[in-house]
Parts: sequence; structure tokens; C-alpha cells
Amino acid sequence: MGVTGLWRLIEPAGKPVPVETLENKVLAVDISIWLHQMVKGYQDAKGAPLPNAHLIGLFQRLCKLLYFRIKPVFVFDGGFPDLKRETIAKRQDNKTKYNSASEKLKREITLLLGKKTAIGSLLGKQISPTKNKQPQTNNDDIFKLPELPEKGGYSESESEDEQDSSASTVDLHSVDFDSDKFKNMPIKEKYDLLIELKETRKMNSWGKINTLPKKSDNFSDFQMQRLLKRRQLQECLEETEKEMGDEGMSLNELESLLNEEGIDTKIESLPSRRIASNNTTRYLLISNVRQALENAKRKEEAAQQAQLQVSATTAVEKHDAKDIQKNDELDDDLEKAIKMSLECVDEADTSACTSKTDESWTSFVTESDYSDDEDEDGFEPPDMTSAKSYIKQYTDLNYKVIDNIVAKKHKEKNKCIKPRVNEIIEELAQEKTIIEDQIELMSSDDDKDKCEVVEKSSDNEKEQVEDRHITEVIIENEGLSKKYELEESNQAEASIICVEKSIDDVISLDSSLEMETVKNDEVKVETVKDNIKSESSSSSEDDFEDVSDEETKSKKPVVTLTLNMGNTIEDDIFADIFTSKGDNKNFAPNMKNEQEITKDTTKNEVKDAIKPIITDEVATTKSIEKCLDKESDNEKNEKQKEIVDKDETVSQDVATKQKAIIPERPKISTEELNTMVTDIENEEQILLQEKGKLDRIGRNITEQMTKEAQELLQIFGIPYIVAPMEAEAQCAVLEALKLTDGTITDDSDIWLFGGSTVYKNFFNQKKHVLQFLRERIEKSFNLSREKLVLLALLVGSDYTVGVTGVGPVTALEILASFPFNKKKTIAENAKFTDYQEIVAGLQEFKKWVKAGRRTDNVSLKKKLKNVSLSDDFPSVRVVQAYFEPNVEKSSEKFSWGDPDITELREYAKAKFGWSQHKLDEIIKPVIKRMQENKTQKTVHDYFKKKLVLDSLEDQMSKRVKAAIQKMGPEAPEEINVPEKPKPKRARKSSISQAATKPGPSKGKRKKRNDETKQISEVVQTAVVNDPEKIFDITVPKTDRYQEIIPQREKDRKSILENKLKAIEVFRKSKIDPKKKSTKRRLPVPKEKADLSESSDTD
Amino acid sequence: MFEARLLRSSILKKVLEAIKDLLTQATFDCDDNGIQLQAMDNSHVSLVSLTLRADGFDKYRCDRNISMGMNLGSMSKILKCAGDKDTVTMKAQDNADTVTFVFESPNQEKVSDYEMKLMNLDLEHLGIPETEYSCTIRMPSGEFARICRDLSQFGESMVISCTKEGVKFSASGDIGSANIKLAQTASIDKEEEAVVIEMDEPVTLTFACQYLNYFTKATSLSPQVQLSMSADVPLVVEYRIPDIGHIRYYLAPKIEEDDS
Repeated sequence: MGVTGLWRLIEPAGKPVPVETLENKVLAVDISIWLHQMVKGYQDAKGAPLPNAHLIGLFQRLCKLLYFRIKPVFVFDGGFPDLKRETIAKRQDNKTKYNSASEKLKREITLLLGKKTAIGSLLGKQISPTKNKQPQTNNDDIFKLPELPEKGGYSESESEDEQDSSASTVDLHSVDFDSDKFKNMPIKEKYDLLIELKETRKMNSWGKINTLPKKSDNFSDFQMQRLLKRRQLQECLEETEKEMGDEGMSLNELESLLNEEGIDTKIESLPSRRIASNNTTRYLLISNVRQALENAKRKEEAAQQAQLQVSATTAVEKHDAKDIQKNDELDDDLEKAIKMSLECVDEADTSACTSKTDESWTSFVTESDYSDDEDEDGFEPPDMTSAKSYIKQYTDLNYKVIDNIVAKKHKEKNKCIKPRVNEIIEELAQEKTIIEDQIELMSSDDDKDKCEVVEKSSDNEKEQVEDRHITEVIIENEGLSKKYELEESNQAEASIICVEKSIDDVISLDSSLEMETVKNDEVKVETVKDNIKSESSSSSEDDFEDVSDEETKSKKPVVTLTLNMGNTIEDDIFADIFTSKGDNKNFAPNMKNEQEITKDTTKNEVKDAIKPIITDEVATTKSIEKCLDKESDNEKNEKQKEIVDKDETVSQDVATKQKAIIPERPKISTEELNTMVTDIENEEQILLQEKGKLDRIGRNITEQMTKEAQELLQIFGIPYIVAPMEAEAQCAVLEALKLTDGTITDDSDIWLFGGSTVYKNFFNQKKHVLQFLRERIEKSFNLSREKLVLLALLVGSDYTVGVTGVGPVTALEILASFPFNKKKTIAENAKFTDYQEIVAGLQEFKKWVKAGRRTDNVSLKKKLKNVSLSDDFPSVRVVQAYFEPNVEKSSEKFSWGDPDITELREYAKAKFGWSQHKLDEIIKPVIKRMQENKTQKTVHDYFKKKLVLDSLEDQMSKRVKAAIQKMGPEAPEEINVPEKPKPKRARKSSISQAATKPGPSKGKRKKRNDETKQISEVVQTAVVNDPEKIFDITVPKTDRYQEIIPQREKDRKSILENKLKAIEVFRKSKIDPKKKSTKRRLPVPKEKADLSESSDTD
Repeated sequence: MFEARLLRSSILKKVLEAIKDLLTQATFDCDDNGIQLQAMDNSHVSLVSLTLRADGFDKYRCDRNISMGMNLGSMSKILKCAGDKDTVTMKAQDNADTVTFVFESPNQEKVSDYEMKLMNLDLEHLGIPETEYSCTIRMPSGEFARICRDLSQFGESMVISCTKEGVKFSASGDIGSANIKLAQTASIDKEEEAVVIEMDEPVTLTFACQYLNYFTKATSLSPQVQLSMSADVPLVVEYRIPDIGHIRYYLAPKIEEDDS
């Protein structure tokens, strides 16, 4: 709208005006630009257009105008002149472009959605083995809530989701966790989302008092609902956590490796329930194996007296062992346990495995801990107990059997493991059944647990569960000692059966123990501690230490709690390793010493211990890959690589004791797809936003809108006119006809139509209302209306495209270089020829550009290198359009009525849906102001302001300044607005010249003497009159300042006096030359001296 | 170099009290003859004109005319740091962008100086025409302050009508109306307490109470206040500051709608 860049150019001429001072002024308002602004600017939260935006906006602005008691006259656009129609057509083109672009984006969005679902399904498949387990385990969950409340419960959480900027649209659907979409979501996101939901829910319970039912009767229902919701959320969270854990363990490791061995088929064939239980049992066993492996490692270390052994020396051995171990680990960790018992540990392989299993195990444990899923709770204790029992066994064994073991290791591994694989698989099946039993047992325990859990608040819940774990662990320790005895005897046989038995024992023990723990929930840990101390060995004490650690950590917030649990458990394992190490190293007979050492050093050294193990891991996994290359597909390789990656990351995690294990654990197989999904989501978001924006831009001002606006104006009793053509032109004419005192518009076209007082930024709350006066623009910028039109021709406006590559500043420079003949100012009835004269300058410019090489004005030439001028460039039509707009010229006065309040109420209710109260709130102060029949006058009404046009030069850029200067010659006084008019200056200059010049060099004395004679003549004439008279003489000459400003006059007077004094001094100095140079300079103000010097040249 | 020294900081403090509510910032124009200040309030309804003559200062020096744009809030903060009996000296270099206030305790034991940044303000001087006012009322400044305060409770605007009988201040609003009449004091015992009315022709004008209340902040500067009125011309409220100058407030009247 308007002339491109004109506002920016003349910005310095704007003067901030308090709105209060506009009281009672009649101001024309160009409403067309408003409607455009409002339709496009007003948007709802999502960036889509608001209904009735134009009316709400108009209403608010009317209220503002009326509140300040401004008398507005609204001017609507009539038709469009032909010239504008062309540009309008272009604009319409753009709009349709926008609209079509919006359509296009819509299509893209749908495409993206399709893509996303496709990827989602892909993802779903990949996760399927694990995923399938989840719902099934869920089925096991006795406490799963009935379907009914789910939807209601999640509708609220959905709304909460919306606030999540990151996840908005997709999450909306996903929160319905039964839906495929939710399942297909990246697990991490899911998890984050749920966590956030949980957090917000907590907060909401305090924050959202509004949601409380109004009837007290409903309160219990309300509470119940909240409880249900929370439970649902919790469940969902648990599920995802499980999934995440599974991803860490089963997805990556199990899946691939099982596939290799063909065991996956088994899993599939197995009843779903078993699969789940299988998983857990496997973990169970893994943990055993792990610890066993650790033990083995310890032994190894003891034997080799270093940790390095593991990595390098056993490389070859590893390969074999790895194969086996993989199979073992992945298929059945039992195998390893068996192997362990049989072989008394494969060192390197096992160590590698241990670390892996550690990770998985920890993840599993953390999971289970975190979710306090009762099913898993059940499994945990056996894990831990058995693990610990093994550790203890082996630590004890160490002393006895180390040597033997070391010797046997390698051979045994290879030989023993392979044939037993099949056996082991069978055994696995057996175990599964056992574990099923176990589950049943556990579930009974769980029931009790759950009952308690449900009753307690979520925080307490977790802490308690944690506590329970701890107590369980402790009790397990007790059990361990028993087991230890059992297994010692069994170890002699070193058969699988023994292991199974032990497991059975363990299970039975655990279950019994668990029962105890459930009962003993409230029993303090310390008592247990005592028991342990009495019963258990040093290692168990170590365990206890860790347990106590756990205790302390359990007080921390929930999330970190569980994570810490994972860490501490890891610590446990490694601590054990270390203790054995310490044992081995010290080989001290005194257990106490060992204990102390371990206590002191565990934590520090655990880390040390972990690192080599991890490096081992990595090495082993890589070698594993090599071995399995033949069998494995590309996919599997990838997964293994990913496993390696994961190991590495885990090693880092462990090393740094990273606390956020769960969320940060990479989802390896699905990672890329997930990133794709997120990318797509982001893209979708962007597209949606863009669509909203384009929709808004694409909206057009319809006839209907104009009608509605006029209706509203009528209700307010505000006069409006529909201009024959352009509203801006009409506004300018209204002002020229003295019907209005100015125009409120942001359209710079008004200047071209001859507006003289324009208020800009009237409704921009961020900016001050700026008052622009034509006078000021003309004086500061040398831009008359004609020149503004020419400027518009160059830069482009509503009527002309302009010259591409020419901005306002360049245009100014062009205008300065090619001035038009200003002799004839445009008269009212200007003729075509006159316009042509105006354009003459630009014609010249065109010639100059077409001529190409010219040496003059090189800098301008450079800027216009790429300028191409159309044939009709200096369009006279455009000039004519600006100077002869089609306007209504009747000078009929406007009248204002009072707002019709009752009608306004109805209107507001119908159009905006406002209640009477809301309307009153807005309209009351306005009405009150309007009813004041007295007007506060301002000082300006009485005291005329001096038109002090400060130089705006300091606000202009150099180029603008230069261009204005160049335009200057036509109106020299206008350039130097603040300076004094010439006659006075001439005199002053001569005087000040006298004052300043003589100082510096003595060589020019004679010449100066001549000068001074002349000057002294001048001075004498001046001195003859007394200073007062000089003052009187000078003042009338300042034709610009009709009225006297005392300060200024005094200022001038004093300067003059000073000068006279200086001259006096100078005259005396003829007699005494030495004094003069010092005295002379004092009183003369420098600025004036400089000025006068420059004026000397005139 | 500009330097102005007052033996009592209280005068400057009171002056600032008198203008700081009405103006947020103002330009102090200093020249040989003294310090002048002219500024309008934000809504341009009233105008403050302050004159402090050079001879009223203990010491006054102004080599070059300077205009110092000051934030009155900041300035009043600084002046609050001065004791009433302290000597205050304002100093500024030519073309400086700061002004320094030096406070010295009477016994010279404590000397504190505060430097304040100056502002670049629009130099916008209004030409105030010399006017012969048809009514001039002199009355105790405290009385005027009281009247303004009381009447502002009744309405936003106050009508001041001056007739031969005396001067009447009235206001009306939601709760009712109030009228206060003052007659010319018959016998003048103390000039300061007298109400003196000089009238050529009766005048009735309406003003916003809010601004009058701002003006009465100057009450402590002078025991007497002079109101000058003419029809359809701003009211002048003048407080003479003994020995040093005056502060004048101009207030544009409220005019009946039809008149415009």
C-alpha cells in the first residue's frame, strides 16, 4: 500500500503527539486500510482468521477514537481507478497464488500424513515382537482398569497435550493409547509425553480449581474420576516404560540373536503370556549369568592379576566363546548359568556378556522398579537373589577353585557349551513353566502390594515400593546365605539340574521371602541390617551398603529414583566384582580388611572396573558380528552394530553415572524411522502454520464486510462517506476543504493526493502516534507533492510498479540529479502538458539510463546498473491520477450523533457474542467521556508555537542528506532551516571574522591590519548604536520568527555583545598585540565562528 | 561553564516539588540573567514557566547559554539527598552532557556531589503573549490549595467565577455540588492573608481540578498566590518565590462544546 518505502524515508519528520491533544479534532479515517489490516491481522490462537475480525477491530478502534473525543469521519473506498485496477489485479493474482499455495500445502500435509502412517506401520512391525508382549502382559495385570473411563480420562489429558508445543497434533491422537498411532509413536516421545502428563496432572490438582464440581455431592465422583485418570496415565506410563526397557534389551539383543538361532519361532509359537514371562525369566538368568561371569572374571583377574587380560589376550577365545555366549545369552541366559556352574566361568566372553547383560538387566530392573509394575516386582527379587547367591557362591568358590578354573576355562567352554545348547533349550521350556508358577506366586504377592499401592499417593507409592525392594534385597541376602549352602553342595556336581534346583529353591525362597517382605513392609531396614550382618558374609555387607545407598536415593524424586536404582544395581554388580578383585589381590585372610578396602574403594574402582569390561564388550560384540556374518542377514548386522553402539553409549553412561538412563537409551532399530517421523511431524507443523497464514493473507475484503462496517458506524452515529474512488484522495480533499483537521491513515498515498496533516500509528500500541505535517516534510526533505509523485514513479506505488531496483533513497538521488522545472507549481486545473513538464526530469533520466555510458554521476550509475525502464516509464497518467483524483468535493459539513446503546448491545451480542456486561465494560467509559459537554482546551489553542523545525539531518542517512542537499539549490533557505536568514548572518560573519581570524600567525599582520580597518569601520557603525538597538535591528530580519522567544533573543544578544567586546579587544590589540590572542578568543562561541566562516564563501 | 549556588537547598527542593508531578522532564535554560524553564505537561493542557533570577542566587555564573534537559524524577531524587540547610551548587560544563549538584552542609563538614545525565529534549518554546487580564485575584496560597482539594472531591472540573462581590469556586458531580465564595478582605492587616480582587469585567471559566491540584504543590514556595483570568484565555496561577523569581502555571480552560 502506498508508496514503497516512503514512510521509512520521511519517518524523521514524524512528531510524537499525545492522543489527548487530538481531542475534538475532526479526523478523516481511511477505513479501507483498516479492514485490510484487521482481516489479515486478527487471528485466533492457531493463526487462522477470526470470524467478524473486521467488526471487532472496528468496534475497538471506534471506542478508542470516541474515548479521546475525536470526531472521526470514515471514508470508504469507492471504485478503483483504472490504473489501480491493474495493480489490484496483480494483487489479486498474488492472493490466488497464496490461496492455491495454501491448497497445495494442504495436499502436502495429507501426503505427509500418509507417509507418516506408513512409517508408523513399519515401525509397528519392527517393534511387533516386543510390542505384542506389552498388551499381553497388560492382560496379566489384574488391576487393569475397565475400558470405560479411558476415553473420558484421556480427553482431559488430550487438552493438556495441546499445550505441548512439541507434540501437539500427533499427540492428540496418540494419547488414546489403544490407538495404533500412539503405539507407533517413538517410544521416547511417548514416554516423555506421559511423564509430562503426569507432572502436569500433579500440578493441575492444585492449579485447576475451576475443574472442581460446583455441587458438593459430585465431589467424590470428581475425585474418583481423577483417581481413575491418574491410574490410567500410570498404566500407560508403565507400559511405555516396559516397552522402552524391552527395546533396550529384547528388541535389540534378543530379537536379533534369537532370530539367528531360530528361537524366535519358539517365542512366537509360545503363548503370549509365556513370552512375557520368558523375557523376564531370561533376564533373571542373564543376571545370574552376568554375575557368574563377573565372578569368572574376578577369578581371571586374580589369576592374571590384571584387567587387561580380558580385552587382548582372550581375543581368539572370545570368538568361539562369543558364539556360544550369544546363543546362550540371547537364547537363554540359563545356558550360561549352567555353563558357569559347569565351567566355572568363561572369562573374557562372559565378561563381555556380563556387561551386556548388565545393561539389559539394569534397564530391566530400572524399568520394573520405576513402573513398580507388580508383575515385574515379582520377578525382580529372584533376579537379585539368584544373582547375589551366585556371586557369593563364586566369591567363596574363588578361593578354592580359582586355579582349577583358570586352567579349565577355555577348553571347557568350547566343548561344553555347544552340545548343551539343545539341552538348554529344553531346559528353558522347563524353566518357563517354573517361572509361570513363580508368576502366580508373585501375583499373589502383588495383589497385596497393589492393594497398598493403590491406596497410597503416587509419590508415596513409589517410595514404598522402593523400600520394599530394598527390604527384599536385604532379605534376599539372608536367603542367599542359605542358598549358598545349598549350592555349594550342588556345585560339586556342577550339573544343570543343580542349577535348576537352585533356581527352584531361589524361587521358592523368594516367594516366601516376598511374602515376608510384604508383611514386613513396615519393618525398619536397620533391623534387617543387623540380621544380615550377623548372617551374611562380607560381600553381603557390601550389598547392604549399596542397599543403604538405594535407600537414600529412594528419597529423591521419582524418576531419578528409579534411574538411580538402575545405577546402584550396576554398582552392586561391579562392586562385587571389585570385592573379589580386592580379595584376590590382597588374598588376605582377614575378612574385615577386605571389607574395609571394598567399602572404601568400591565406588571409585567400580568405575575403573567398568571401563575395561565395556571395552571388552565392544571388542567381543564386534567379533561376534564377524562370526555370525554367515548366518546373519544385513539387518542383523545392523542391529548388532547398533548393539555395539549401545554398549558404547552405555559405557559412557555408566562412567558418568548418568542419571537419565531410560529416556536417553537409544531406540536402536527404530531410531532412524523415529527421526523420520519427527521430521515429518515438524514439517507438518510448519505447513499447518503456513497454511493458516496464507489463508489469512488470502482473505479478501468483501462487499459484505464493508456493509457490516457501515452498519456499525451508523449505530455509533459516526458519519462516513464512500469516496467515488480512492479513500485517501477523498481524505486529502476533505482536509483541503477544511472539513477535517487531518487524516488518520497508514497509507502514504495520502501525501501524493495532497494531504497535509497525517496521523500515523494511531492504533499501534507499540508506537507513539506520529503527526506528519506536509510543511515539515517539504522543508526537511525538499519533497513537494510533485516530487513525491515522481518518487512514487520510481519506487512504485498503487498506481505504478515503479522501477525495479530503485529504493526510496536511490530515487531521491535520481530526483536530485534530474530535477524537474519547478517554475510552475501545479495549479488546480492543471493541464496535461503541465504534468509532462513534471515528468520531464524523469524523461531525462530515462534518456540518461538508455544512453548507457556516461561519465557523470558514476556512483548513481553503479547503483542503477541493472535497472530496466519500461517504455511508458515516466507515466503521465500516473501523475495525472495523483493530481486529479476522482473525489467528492461538496463542502457539506459532517454531523455526529450519539451511539445507540441498546442497538449496540444487540449488535454486540449477535456479532461478537458479547454479553451485556462485557459490552458495558467497554462502552461505559466511552459514553461518559462523550457526554462531557465541555472540552478541555490545550495550551496550543492559546499560545502559538514557534515552528521550530529542528534539523532532521542527524536522523537521516548520509545518502539522503546528500540528495536533499543536492535538491537544495532551488530553495536554499529551506535546507538550512534552523539557521538564521542571510542578512544578519552576513553582518555577523564579518564581525566574527574579525574576531577569529587575526589570531594565529603574526606574519600576515599587515594584511590583517587592512582587514581590521575595514572591520573596525563596520564595528564603529555598530558600536555607535547601543547594543539594544542592534538587537532591535536584527530581530525584524528574522522573518521566520515573528514572535520573540526571550531566551533565544537574549542568547543572540549576548553573542553579539561578546563579539563586540571581542572586536573592542581586537582594536585595542593593535596597540598591544601580545594580549589579544589570549583574550580575543575567550568570549566568541566557536560554532558561530565556524558557521560564519562557511557563510563567508557565499 | 555554568555554576549557580543557593544558600538554601530548600528553595530548589520546593521548586522541584512544585513541578515534578506535572512534568516528567524539562529543559532548564540558563543564561546570564538566570534560569528559566518552560514546559507543558504531557497532554499539553497546562504550561509551567519558572524563572529564577541570577541575583537570587548566592553565586551565579553562566559563561555561555546552556539548555539542560533534565529528568525531573531523577533530579528530585538527587535533591532529596540534600539537607534543607545545605548549600546547593549546580554546575555544568559548556556542552556537557551531565550536570553536577554539590551539597555542602552549613559547617562545611559534609560535601556531597551528584552527577546527573542530561537529556536531549525538544526545544519547544511557546510564545506567551502579554495579556491584560480582566480579573486578578490575590489570595493566601494555602487557602487556594484547600479550595482546590475540597472541590476536586465533587467533580473533575471547577468553575471559577469572578464578580464584583468576590470570587466563587464551584464544582458539581455525582455526589452533589459545592460552592466556595471568597469576598475581598475589608481591612488589610497582613498582606499575605488578604484576598485582593482587581476586576475590570466579570469572568467565569471552567478548569480541570486535577491540574489545579498539581499547581498547588507550589504552595510552600509562597504565602500568596495570584490568579489571573480573562475570558477564553488560560488561567495563570502565579507563585512568587521570594527574592529569586516566580513560578507560573498556565491552564487552558474547558470550553462548552458549542463554542468550538
